[in-house]
Amino acid sequence: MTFLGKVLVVVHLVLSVMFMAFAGAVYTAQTNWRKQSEADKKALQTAQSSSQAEQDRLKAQVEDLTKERDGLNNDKQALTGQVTTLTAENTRLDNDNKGLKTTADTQRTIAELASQEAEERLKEAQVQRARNVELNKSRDEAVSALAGERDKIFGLELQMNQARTKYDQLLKDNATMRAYLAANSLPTDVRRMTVSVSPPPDLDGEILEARKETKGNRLFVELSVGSDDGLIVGHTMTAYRGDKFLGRVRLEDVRPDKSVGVVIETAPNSVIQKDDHVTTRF
Amino acid sequence: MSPRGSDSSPAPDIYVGLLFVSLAALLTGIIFLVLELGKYGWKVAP
Repeated sequence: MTFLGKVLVVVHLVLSVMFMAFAGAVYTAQTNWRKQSEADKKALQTAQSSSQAEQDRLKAQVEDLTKERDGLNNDKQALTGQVTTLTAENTRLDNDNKGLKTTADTQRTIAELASQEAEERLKEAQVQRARNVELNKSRDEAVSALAGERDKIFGLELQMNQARTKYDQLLKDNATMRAYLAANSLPTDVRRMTVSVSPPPDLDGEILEARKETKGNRLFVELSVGSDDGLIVGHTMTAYRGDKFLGRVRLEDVRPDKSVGVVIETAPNSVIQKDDHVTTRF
Repeated sequence: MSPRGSDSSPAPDIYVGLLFVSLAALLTGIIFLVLELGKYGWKVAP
């Protein structure tokens, strides 16, 4: 082997060893830049996502804050208006307060007057109380009198009930008597009974007018005597002219100073006229 | 190096040993580089 070959072998050996050393150094001390790049990309994407989300959140927050600012501006305007209104209200209330103070002074004066009036009323009440005591006494007396009157009323009611019972009994008796009288062909008319019981007094009268019934054949006469002379309905009087008997008249309507009767009996060939006379003596 | 036509094989000397050592170093370096390239998935350009 030539000297050059030997040199080349040695150089080759040195370079091979250096190549191995560098390759080992690279293998052991290197950094995997690909993994680092991917990790950085992921971190970047994560950061971008976070940034986007944060931007969205901030945008939403900005919108909310904008709305809130608008709302606050509106509130501010409203509050400004309220301040103006309240200021005017405050001014009005101050005026009212002044008026109320004046009113309070007036009311205080009125209250003082009312207090004086109350004292007077108290005195009057004491007087009225004393009078009330007297009235109570009189009321008690009136109550006692009322109780007595009630007792009287009770007694009168008892008497009235007894009278009513007696009245009912009398009605029954009356009905029985009427039935009895009717059964015995006796008159049941009270007027006829009265006439039969109380005969007319002796008196003379004159026929003021004689008129025939429009429908029918009865003759009515108006007489110059009445109840003031003692006549009653049902009495009969005799009509005459001079010494001639004309007929009989039964009284149907009796007034104090005159009466009206109906002719119940007429003498043959005679007519009762005005200015004829009547009497109860026959 | 033995002359052409000689039947006797030359005896290995120290330089042959140095060549073997150099071969081993080259193989080791290649293995390191292969392993390194395997980490990148055998992709040289991104």
